[in-house]
Amino acid sequence: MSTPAKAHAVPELAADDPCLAGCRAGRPEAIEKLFRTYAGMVEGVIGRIVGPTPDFEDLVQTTFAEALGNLGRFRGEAKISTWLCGIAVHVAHHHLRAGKVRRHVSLELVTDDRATALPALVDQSVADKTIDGRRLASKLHALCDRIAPKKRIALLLYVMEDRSVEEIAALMRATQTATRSRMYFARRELRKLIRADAELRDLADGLLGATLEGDA
Amino acid sequence: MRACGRIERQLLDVVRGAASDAVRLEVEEHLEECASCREVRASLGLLGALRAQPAPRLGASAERRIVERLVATGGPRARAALAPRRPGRVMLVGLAVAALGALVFVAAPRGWRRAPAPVAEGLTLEATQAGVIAFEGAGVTYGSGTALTFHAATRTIAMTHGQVDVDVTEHRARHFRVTTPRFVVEVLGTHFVVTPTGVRTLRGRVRVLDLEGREIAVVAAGESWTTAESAVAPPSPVASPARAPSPIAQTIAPTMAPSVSPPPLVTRPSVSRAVVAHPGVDVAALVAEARAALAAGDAARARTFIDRAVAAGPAPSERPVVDLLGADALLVERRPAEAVAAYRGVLRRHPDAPEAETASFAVGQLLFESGAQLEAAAALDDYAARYPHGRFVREARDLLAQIRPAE
Repeated sequence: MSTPAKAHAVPELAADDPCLAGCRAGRPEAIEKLFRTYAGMVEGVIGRIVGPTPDFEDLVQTTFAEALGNLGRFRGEAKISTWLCGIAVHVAHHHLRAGKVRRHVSLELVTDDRATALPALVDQSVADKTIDGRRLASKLHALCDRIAPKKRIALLLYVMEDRSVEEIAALMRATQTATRSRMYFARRELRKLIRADAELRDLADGLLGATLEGDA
Repeated sequence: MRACGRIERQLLDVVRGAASDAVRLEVEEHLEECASCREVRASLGLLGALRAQPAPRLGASAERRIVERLVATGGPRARAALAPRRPGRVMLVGLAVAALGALVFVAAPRGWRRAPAPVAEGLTLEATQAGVIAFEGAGVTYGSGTALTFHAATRTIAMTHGQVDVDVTEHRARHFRVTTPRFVVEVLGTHFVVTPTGVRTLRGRVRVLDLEGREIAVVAAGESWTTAESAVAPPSPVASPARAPSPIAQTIAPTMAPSVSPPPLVTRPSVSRAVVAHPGVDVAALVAEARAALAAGDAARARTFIDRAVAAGPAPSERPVVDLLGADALLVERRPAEAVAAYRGVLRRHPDAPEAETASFAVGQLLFESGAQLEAAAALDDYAARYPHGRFVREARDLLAQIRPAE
């Protein structure tokens, strides 16, 4: 199994970067630098794993709060991004286990005057794509809620975050065999769930047709 | 079958775009013959489509808030202050004991349980600390220093000091009333806050009567009403409601119906229509205080100043900034849905004021941060169209580029 290139390169601070000492001392500029350097990566990991949730900001904040609290124990044996990613995965896992994931972002933010404002303000094709994308994301994450968190995280980190099995195993403190097993069962459960959902089944069939035609 | 197992693993790499041409060819050849693997491919293809979506990102303001909180809590100490506490073993044992206790209570013969005693007629409560009490189909949350007398026969609470937050959960033939030395509040709806100088309705409607029973005002949800002297006298600080009942409340604790959830004493966005303007109160100073409190992250304190500014009857030129601060307070209180509505209210009521620009961008940004991308795009487009050279144009375009990366 080949190791894919990362979807997005993460800027990296060296283990002996003065920023880390500044964070340990509680210096505001150092804390901000650490956050700005890794915010994108942490947000990506949490957002991909948990899906749309009103707790997104809390989860990102918790990840950095945990990181700052544990910075004294960071020995520099791994990259900071890997270490932070492990914390983000842990925070996301805790969130999923707590069952808070059901609180998906809904249309509750939208007030009544939205309906009349939209057609004139948004290009229809863009709107359709956005709706399709959001709808798909929302439905898939809702299905993922029904897969055990560890299995779900392993599969999503592999497919969405381009992490290798070795990395996922390290991040989740599991063996590679256990990680592969989790991914296998997650795939199987996801397939069953999609098969049971008429809309997603049609969408999947459509995607498959388009893929095969494109390949031909 | 062995081939299917291998192909299924390779499919994951195909979906990730990480498979070699040889692998892709092998997979496609297999898919032409194998219906089962085509089904696997279809389900993984959905994940591939999800992968094509841009990675979720927080907005600039959310990131700024996080940095501020991390810095404010002192870096390494941030964990204790900001990370949610997890139940320790002792706590879990405690929960187990509590659950067991609840089970015994539920399973116990009816005679073991004492029926809740009604609040005695004429009972007077002078609370030394905040608490909650159930009375005549309503949850009554009172602040520290509140003096109340309960009249069950007339379904009335007489209040002389302090503040009560009343959430009427049962509708009966007789209207629920709260009397003060200056006026009477009669409930037509469900949830409101009364102080000796005014009333703020959070849900439903209430009617304000004078002491002779003549109607003065009907205050609907989101509105507040104050007496003339209210803005002159500084509002007394109100303690947040404690979960533990006060010593007085404990004497009537059985009446605290579990079904009545303690209504919060927090304020809601109030589109006040102060009946009387109060010249002499410096609205600008109150606005400055509110702004300073918001900058310090103290939304409750800011709300106090905003309410006083509203009650003082700000001049038309001051009104937009007061309304904008009200929306900002909701944001600091982390109530984004209500903040969006409040910002939209600023836009609607003061479209030509400078504050409308901030409100317009804030709506788009908040919607973006909440994941409502379609609505965020509409709001941000609206902002860019209204203010092509505005202060937030660059940020609005950045957000729009994240929503529509293909453009």
